[in-house]
Amino acid sequence: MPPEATAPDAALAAEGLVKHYGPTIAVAGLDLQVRPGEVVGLLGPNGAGKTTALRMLAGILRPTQGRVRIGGIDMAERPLEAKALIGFLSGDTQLYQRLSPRETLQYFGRLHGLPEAALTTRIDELVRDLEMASFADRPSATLSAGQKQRANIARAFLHAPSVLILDEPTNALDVLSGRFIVESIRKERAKGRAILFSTHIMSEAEYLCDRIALIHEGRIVDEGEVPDLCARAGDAKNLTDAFLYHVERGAPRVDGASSGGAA
Amino acid sequence: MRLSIVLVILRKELLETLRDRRTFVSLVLLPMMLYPLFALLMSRMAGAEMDALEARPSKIAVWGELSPDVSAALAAGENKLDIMPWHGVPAPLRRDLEAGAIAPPAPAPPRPPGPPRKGSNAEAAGAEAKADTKPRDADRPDAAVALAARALVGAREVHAVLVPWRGFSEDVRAGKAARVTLYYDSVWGDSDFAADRLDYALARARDGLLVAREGEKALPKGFTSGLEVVSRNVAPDERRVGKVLGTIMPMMLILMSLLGGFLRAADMTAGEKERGTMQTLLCAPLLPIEIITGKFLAVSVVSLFTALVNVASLGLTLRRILPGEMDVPFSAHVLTFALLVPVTLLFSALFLAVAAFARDFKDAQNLLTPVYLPVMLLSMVTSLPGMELSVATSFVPVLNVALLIKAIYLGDVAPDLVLFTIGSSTLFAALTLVFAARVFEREDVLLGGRGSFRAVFSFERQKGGIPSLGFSLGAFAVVLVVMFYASFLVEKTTNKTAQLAATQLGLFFLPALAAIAASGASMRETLGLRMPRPRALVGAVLAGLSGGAAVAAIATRLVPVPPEFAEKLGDALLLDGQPLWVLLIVIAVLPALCEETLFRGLLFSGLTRAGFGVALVASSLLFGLAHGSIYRLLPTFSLGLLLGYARHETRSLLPGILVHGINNALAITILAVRPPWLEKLLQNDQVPVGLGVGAALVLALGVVLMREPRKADARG
Repeated sequence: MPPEATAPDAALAAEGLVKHYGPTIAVAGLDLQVRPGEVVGLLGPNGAGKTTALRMLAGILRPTQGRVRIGGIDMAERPLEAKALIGFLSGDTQLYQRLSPRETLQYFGRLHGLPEAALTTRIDELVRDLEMASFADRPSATLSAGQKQRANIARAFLHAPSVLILDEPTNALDVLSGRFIVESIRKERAKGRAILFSTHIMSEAEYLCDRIALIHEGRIVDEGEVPDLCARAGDAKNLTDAFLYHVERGAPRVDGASSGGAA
Repeated sequence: MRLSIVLVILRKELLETLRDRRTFVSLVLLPMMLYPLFALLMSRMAGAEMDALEARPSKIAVWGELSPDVSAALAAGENKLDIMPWHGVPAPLRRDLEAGAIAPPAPAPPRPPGPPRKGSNAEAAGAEAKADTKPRDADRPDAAVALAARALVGAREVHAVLVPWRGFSEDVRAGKAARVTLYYDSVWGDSDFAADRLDYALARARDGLLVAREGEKALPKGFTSGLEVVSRNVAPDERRVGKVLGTIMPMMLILMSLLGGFLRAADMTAGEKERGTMQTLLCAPLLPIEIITGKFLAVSVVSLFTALVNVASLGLTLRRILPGEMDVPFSAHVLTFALLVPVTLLFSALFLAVAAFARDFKDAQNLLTPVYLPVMLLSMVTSLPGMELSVATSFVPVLNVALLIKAIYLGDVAPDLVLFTIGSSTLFAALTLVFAARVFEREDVLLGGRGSFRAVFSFERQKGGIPSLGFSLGAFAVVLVVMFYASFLVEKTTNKTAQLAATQLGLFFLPALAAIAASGASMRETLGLRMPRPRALVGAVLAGLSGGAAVAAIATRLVPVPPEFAEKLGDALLLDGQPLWVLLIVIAVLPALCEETLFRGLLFSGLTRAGFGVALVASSLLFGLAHGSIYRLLPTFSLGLLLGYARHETRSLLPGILVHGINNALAITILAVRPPWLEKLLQNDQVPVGLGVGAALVLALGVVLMREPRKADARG
């Protein structure tokens, strides 16, 4: 990949990411940058490679090709330092059933090497901000889906990461809980975090994201602000139509800015 | 790897375990109930069996004429004996018996002193000891009677046959020792019990006779008995329980100890995947090795705790429920627990590694069951009669520990076998840990579904260099296992020379070379195929000449060798009187070449990846253990250190081969020739202090000469 593709101020940058599972190509050359204080949405149908891409960005999966930088740190070379800057959350993540949210937060705080006193203060702060006081000390097995996801959000925010990678965080939540999560994400953006966010709920993406990348069959087919995306998708009325336009065409848009990479 | 992180993970896993009711039940409750319940059940069953035996009268065929008083005494109702005169006797045999043509068997020698056994008071009315009906008795005078009795008892027609020999009544009347013989089948419970009843009844009859004789001869009462002994067997039921418990205890202990680890391992890997928490753990700034170590320690702690509860429950059961029957000292329980440690570690690693492949908890149980089954089979084999710990079985994982535990509880433990068992179990545990670490390095296994087993087992052929740590250890373990099976083959040849040569070449040398070739590592680097400096060779010769004496001077004082052992070893090494040149080839040249290739080549090189110190100690320890005796452990371990040093310093295998060969050649020559002046010198089979010191000085010189300046040192 050409090195100039990476903006110097990007908090998160992917260059030519490729992931093969045996003969299957899950991600076929992905370039993406997220700047501090920016929310970028990754939009795509099921099986488009969103989860695989986010896992590579979070350092859970090793890319077959390409590289990931977090705050300028190369994930492959210095994984521990890069991972320390990331907060990761996915919609299907559950909590440790027999631990309370507070204990879970303590556990991850210690794994991140936060000092005990600072950790206690930080947990109290999160419990207050995310309105978890009523269930923070109950075993996670007894919590509702919305409560669990708040605890999960708290875990992702815990070490004040500069990059948040959120894989369908509102998945399987009711409207109220979903809205709460979305608002929390907006607050984090205000603090200057770089946020990469995947969803298949169009309204959420439109409401939250500064930029949107449409992913299909393992590569980004278009990327930009919502009006631009609509304009480029045969003057689509809204994001949903733009999305459908690309999915149905099935081929990458020839633009040069977004679809470069592996064949 | 950061210890603090490992401890955080360990602590969290243990906290979760403590809160899991399922685990608590299998960890604490089950073992606490299992052993007492089992013991109670067994004694209840044994008791019921006893009651049934008591209720049935014993049918006794009497082939001969009892005197009226003895006859009356046996027929007394409380004896529950059903006396059947001449029942089932073949006609010719009856004629011979009546004619007195068959001589009674010779009286058995007096029983050796020891714990009283059932039936030891059987010499009723001067009766002969009971005759077994074994084939070797064919030479005895009463063979025909024994054969007929065996047929009758075998057909279940009577429970026992009692033969009062001709002249019984006359002897009783004349006040002489009258002779009877009892034929029964000790394996058949009813027959055994009938023999007990007869013993008792005959003893009573004898007492009656003695009292009558005292009256006749006007002797004071008690004159003839001299001593009145009343013995009462207090726990006939529990004795059986103790024996049964003793044979199946090792199996229960091992299976129960692993159960706790089984559940936790499945929960910590597949369970975490199922709940999606594995990926959150993986995106935390942690090294995979920290995660696996934390989880491994947690599974180990849980398993060890289960093992402890099991051993404690078993110990208390033996004390409380079976008092006095199994006198197991506290140290036996401690040793049992210590033995469970390597097994537990091995399976903690193995369970974790295998469960990591599963998609969810249920899947994990499916995958772990095939791992658990062989353990069950191996530990069940333990309860087979005649299955005992030997040098060969001490290298079979699980079986070795199970057999050793059985031996401990039955009170018969050979110290060197303990050593082998612990040594080989530790080696296997280390190997599995390497395997588990490999699994956890694989993202697809930890995140997605199954991943492929094959990918984990496959190894990439190296391009040159020395073999990896895991490969060397794995290859060494394979050599051990092959040795175990091959020993059955080699055993068949009675030619000891061929046996030794085949072992050296076929089991050490060729497998080591094949392994290095398969790994793709460089033969030259792994084996140290280079010519050392001439002074290093001189040093090796000196060390070879002096090393044995210097080591022996110390070792024989620390661990005195029993003379029988030294003699046996000496005889074995002399190979039934082969000429000296054959001895030199088989005992000196071949071991020097073959053992060095395996131990200082393949094994040592791979181990150096963990550091020189580790390689030196571990290879020497395995080298010492491979020599198969606790008395040789210290000398061979020390020799191993010297050989490892030579390999490391000279970066060549050749000096080691020289040291090893000369050392062995010297020893075998002395053993074969036995020069009289040397015999005189070695008073009490010990190397004299003066000679020891001299040898040590020569050895030191040899060691210094073998030192090669490293490139880094050569700068100045």
